[in-house]
Amino acid sequence: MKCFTLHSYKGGTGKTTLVANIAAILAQEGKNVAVLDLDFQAPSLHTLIGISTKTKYINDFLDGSVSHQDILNDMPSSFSLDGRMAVAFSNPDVDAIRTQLAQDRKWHMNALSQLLSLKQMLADDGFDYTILDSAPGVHYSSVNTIVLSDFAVLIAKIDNFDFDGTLNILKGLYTPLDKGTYLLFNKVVPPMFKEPRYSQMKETISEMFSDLTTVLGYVPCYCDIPMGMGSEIHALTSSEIAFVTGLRAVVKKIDEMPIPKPKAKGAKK
Amino acid sequence: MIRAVYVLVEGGVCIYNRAYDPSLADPMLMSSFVSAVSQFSKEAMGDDLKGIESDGRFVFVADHDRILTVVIADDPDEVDTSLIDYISISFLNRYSQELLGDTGKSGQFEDFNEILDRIIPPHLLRDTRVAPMEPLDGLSLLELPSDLQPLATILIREQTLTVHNAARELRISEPAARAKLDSIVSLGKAGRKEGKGGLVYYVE
Repeated sequence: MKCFTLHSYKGGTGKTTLVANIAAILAQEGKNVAVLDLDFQAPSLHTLIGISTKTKYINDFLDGSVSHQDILNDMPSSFSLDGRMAVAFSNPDVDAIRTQLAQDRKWHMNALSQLLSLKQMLADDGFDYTILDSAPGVHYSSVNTIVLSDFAVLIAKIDNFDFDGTLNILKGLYTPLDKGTYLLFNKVVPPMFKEPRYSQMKETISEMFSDLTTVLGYVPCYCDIPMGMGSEIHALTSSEIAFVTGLRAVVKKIDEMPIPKPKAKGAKK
Repeated sequence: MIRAVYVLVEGGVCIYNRAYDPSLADPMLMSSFVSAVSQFSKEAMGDDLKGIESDGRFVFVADHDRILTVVIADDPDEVDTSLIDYISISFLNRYSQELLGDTGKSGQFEDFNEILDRIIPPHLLRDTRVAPMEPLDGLSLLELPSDLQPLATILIREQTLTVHNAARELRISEPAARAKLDSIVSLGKAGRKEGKGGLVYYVE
């Protein structure tokens, strides 16, 4: 089983949308995919997929009140997926978020311990992939998510905030943790794909990141996505739109390439 | 580590003590505490052998015929029913006559020291316990050298790990696994203690 996280320095890069669509594409291709919403501070995967009053959350698994099967919600059969796609949500209730925010490092260590066991259980259940939707930035929970994953796909937009931030976490988190990464640029505005701007952008990115990570691709900013109002997984509902076909190429790379090795070494204390 | 063994008779009078930890309070001063704990243990737990935690140590009490045997250990895993029964029965066998008479003579049971030292496995008398200095979470893992991180991650998942299991998981030799675990302990990220099956590394 491959386990990877989608992570970014800043919020708003489109991680959750990408997580849901990447998982759906893999499941359409016959892979068994588990998706875990580990953004405890701002859960949002439930908005895309939907929850009921009976839903059990990852929070419940971490406090030991339910088993790992109880938190996995299978996508409806109406989507005709060739593989299994099961999603575990983080509790969006404000009280649950507040409780989680108040936890100390010991709690986070125990949570990491349980999540590492959960990863093993999902592998034993026959999942080919576990995809983690991480909180952005550097928090206990996002660092735990990185530790849990075999590699990360870092999501960034084309702007200096994201360039600097991504560089920062690559050097400060991923290198010391010896984790391999890919870098995927999302929400790239169409004018950036026109020459000479496109070549300049790629050159800048290569200069900044080629020693640290591998660029996986550039996903253009498509109006279809915001038009879905955050309640649609386009890979399931509009599989022919450019966003989905472009993402299929990215998923193919992730599926075919071996788990990336860390590029930079020697950043240890 | 087993820190001390006490034998009490009816009324909570301590007739024998063997302290392996010189820092423990005078056994006679301890006797009223031990007596109270023993009474509580008997009433609250019946015949089940359970350690009562007090000040980071575990107090185990077993009731046998005319004596109460009390063992103080660092870890609940270090003392089991068979060990404490063995101590009690050995004491009763050796001193069955003496226990019928006056048990107040000084040094009357001192020669039990030699027997006790043979009963308790040597590894339980070694003070190898080291407590972790901080929780080993993701942030803490960041501070570890990369060659220790895979083992530290397994330790986080398992919470407790023997050298044998660490070596098996990482497919390395046991001395190499032990060296890595000891390094994690020396960095304050994990603890080390003696368990029933030998040395155990743990996080908390």
